Amino acid sequence: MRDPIIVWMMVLTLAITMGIGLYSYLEARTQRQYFAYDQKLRWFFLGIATFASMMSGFGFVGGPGLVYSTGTASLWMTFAGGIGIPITFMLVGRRLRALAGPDIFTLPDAVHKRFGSQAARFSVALSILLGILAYLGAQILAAAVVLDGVFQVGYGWAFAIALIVTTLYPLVGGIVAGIRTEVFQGAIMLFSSVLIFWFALASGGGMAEITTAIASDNPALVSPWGSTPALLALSWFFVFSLGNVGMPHSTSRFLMLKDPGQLRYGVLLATSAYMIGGLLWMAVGYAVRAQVALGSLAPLAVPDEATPTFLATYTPPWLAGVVFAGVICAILSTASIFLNVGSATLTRDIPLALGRPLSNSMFWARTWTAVIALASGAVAIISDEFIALLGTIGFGLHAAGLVPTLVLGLHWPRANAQAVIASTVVAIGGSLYFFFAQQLGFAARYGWWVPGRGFASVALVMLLSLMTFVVATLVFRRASVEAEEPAQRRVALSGGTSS
Amino acid sequence: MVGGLGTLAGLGLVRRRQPLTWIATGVVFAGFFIGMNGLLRNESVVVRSPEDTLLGFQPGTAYLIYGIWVLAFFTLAGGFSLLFNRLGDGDRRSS
Repeated sequence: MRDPIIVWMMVLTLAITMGIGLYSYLEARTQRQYFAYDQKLRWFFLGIATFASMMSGFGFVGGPGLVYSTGTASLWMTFAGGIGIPITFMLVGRRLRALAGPDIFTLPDAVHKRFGSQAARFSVALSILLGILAYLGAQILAAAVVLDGVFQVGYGWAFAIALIVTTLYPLVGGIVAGIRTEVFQGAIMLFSSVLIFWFALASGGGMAEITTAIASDNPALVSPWGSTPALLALSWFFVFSLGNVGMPHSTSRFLMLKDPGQLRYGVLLATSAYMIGGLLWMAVGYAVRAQVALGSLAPLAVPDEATPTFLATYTPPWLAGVVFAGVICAILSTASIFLNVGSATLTRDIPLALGRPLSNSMFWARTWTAVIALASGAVAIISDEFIALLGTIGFGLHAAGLVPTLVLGLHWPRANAQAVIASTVVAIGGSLYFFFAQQLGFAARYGWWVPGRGFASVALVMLLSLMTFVVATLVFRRASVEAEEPAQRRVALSGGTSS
Repeated sequence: MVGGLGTLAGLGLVRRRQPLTWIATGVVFAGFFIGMNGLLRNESVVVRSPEDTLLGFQPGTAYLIYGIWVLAFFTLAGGFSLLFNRLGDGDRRSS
């Protein structure tokens, strides 16, 4: 690739990102600033940053690849994700903001305040951390692949650059750097999505022509369920709409809000931006598939080549430069927030849950950021071919581990700490079971059970986790109700203004 | 799906003692129902020419995209924005 325009646009994007990030050091001096933006987040930053972190590199590369291989089925992920944003704002936005306070600015903090249990805080922190280690490795690897493609410096150097860029500015500037760079990165992502959508439609002569070309080769791809069983598409809808509530890089922002009034415009902005980003996901995959059906392009060896192939064949270099900058922005924005949330669990949540708070917390905040980045990099190197699968387990862990606690736990007065712990254990155990059974092939080799008819295992683990939460709440109800202070519960569940 | 999305949209739109908001919710509910019904009735339609498409897509997919997803985007995001606005007003009055 190594087109000078693309190289310089990438260098400029990385330089601006690093500049904004490093400058944020000045405003990241305390834990509350480093992990919670000093709880002064406003609607514009909330909206754009939510979109930027939700639309990871997968949305720009993996998503179009899935449209190429499964057709409309993949759209049950991206559009469900867009619908998941307002659902997340609605279900947990005000409730979490109501729990926020000077000493409550992480999700495990909020769980501790709601349930009064260090064990519940620990179990939620653990599921967040495990999911982040898996998910972050996938982001670093994706960044290395993109940087190697653009700079052509060799995979080893690209990996080193990716690790340094991904780590340095979140380490120095914390969430302040993360959110400010996300606004810049989100703007580039939006701009590139709109442009690429237009070019994709133009390449095929319009959506109707693209649909007709694909249907002439494989009619199933343009049908509402794509080439997958309907149950898989529906289970993706369930996971990517409701499962969004469990994504810590999205929900933890509600604890950073200046006031609950910021939610009203934030929800509009985040949803609209994600909707526009989803257009790239859809249009590129369809456009490349149509050209393959028409014989203008050779069939792709790997579906993930859909975006690079489209950029190399149908767009001018300047647009390819903008889109590659958008891809690296999508990866960095997601990775920086994961690093920050992960560092918060190790600096604050787990030590507090164990009754051993860390002194010199800012030193540890930055140290743990570096350690998590290095650990995720090591996971990425060791797993290599499994890294995309680790991304799946990361998403599943967050969805199954946090959705019951945040959705049921914040709304159901009877919910208790035992239910949080039990549902988290089921989420971690279930995610690991299906990782071994499906991704590592234990089902085929040793006959491990997996759901049939295409039902997504992530959806099953999420359902099991939700049911466990309900059962545990009913079983342990009496002890919990007697132990809890009624007034404290009313404040925690009021959803009103912050204390 | 129709029930869930319709209820969520209604949560954002409905205001007590304001009949117009109930009508809006009914329209949204009907939209989701028409979208799902159109999806199921047209899921097997084969596209052979651009004239067979509906707004650029296979007819069943068009109902899915315009009747469910686009409608859900606008009603949920807009409805919840209105709801947060209303709750914010309530907060201000009580404080």
